[in-house]
Amino acid sequence: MPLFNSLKVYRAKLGINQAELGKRVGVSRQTISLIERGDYSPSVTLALKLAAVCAVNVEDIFYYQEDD
Amino acid sequence: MKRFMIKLLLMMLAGFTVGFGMGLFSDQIANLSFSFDPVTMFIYEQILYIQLTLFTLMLVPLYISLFKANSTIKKINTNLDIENDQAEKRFQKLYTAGAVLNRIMLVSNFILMAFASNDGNQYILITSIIFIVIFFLASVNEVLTLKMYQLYDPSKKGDPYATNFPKKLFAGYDEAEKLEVYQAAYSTFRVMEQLLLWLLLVGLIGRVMFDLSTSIIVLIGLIWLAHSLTYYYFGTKQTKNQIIYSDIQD
Repeated sequence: MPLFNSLKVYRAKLGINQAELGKRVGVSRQTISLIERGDYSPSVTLALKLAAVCAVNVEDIFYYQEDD
Repeated sequence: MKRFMIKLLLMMLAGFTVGFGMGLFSDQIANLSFSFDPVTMFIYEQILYIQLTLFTLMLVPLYISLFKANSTIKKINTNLDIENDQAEKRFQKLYTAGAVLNRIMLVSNFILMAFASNDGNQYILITSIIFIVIFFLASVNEVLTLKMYQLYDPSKKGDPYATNFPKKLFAGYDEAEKLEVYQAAYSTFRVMEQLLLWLLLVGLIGRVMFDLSTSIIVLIGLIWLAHSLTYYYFGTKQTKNQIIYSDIQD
């Protein structure tokens, strides 16, 4: 999957767990785990919510990189 | 052109050989005689013991799984990342095992009752009572597993006894969970399409070889038709609707 993210890093900066981050953006702990592992690409709405919670731009958390 | 003609002739020859072979094979199958009667008779005669043995064998691991799953919920540590939370993984395994076993028990109950309802069954009263008890237990277990899931994830709302419960439960899912449900539903659809086709073929062979009832083939055919038509209906309905990625409706 060419979509990568640094969500785990930003979550660590906030000092909160997956459950708490999920609560703040309205998704489950499992979904946060899926996103962090790169197993699920969130919708634009969710990506914007995550960026807002982390107080950064969406591009700072999520980046697209073509496969070779 | 010449090459094409040779290719065509070779294909015709291959088709003739395969067709001839299949004809011979079908003839051999039609001449085979095999009877399920002894097996059916055995089930008819021993139905009470089969019911008791099968349901005991299912109920014990089912309740062990459900009780263990229930006690594992308290051990889930949400401060940990899911990848490091062993209790979370254990809960998912035990919960799934319990739910699957309960569904197998429910379906088996109906199948065995069909065998028990033959005229010669001298234990008809006891077998009927077993059927009602197992049906009641399976229904209670179904509600218990749903309540347990709500205990595990309090964001999943709804009363399991209410008729609109599936709708309310689904509304509580987030976008990734909904996607998982849709992926699972589509995989189920594909598997069922294949399975029903094979069941029809097996049913037709069974009709020729074992004189199976035509109603079985008609029933499988109707299920296949209903299955496909339902899919096409909802497929058409969905394309007419606006798809909101994070708020997919059931």
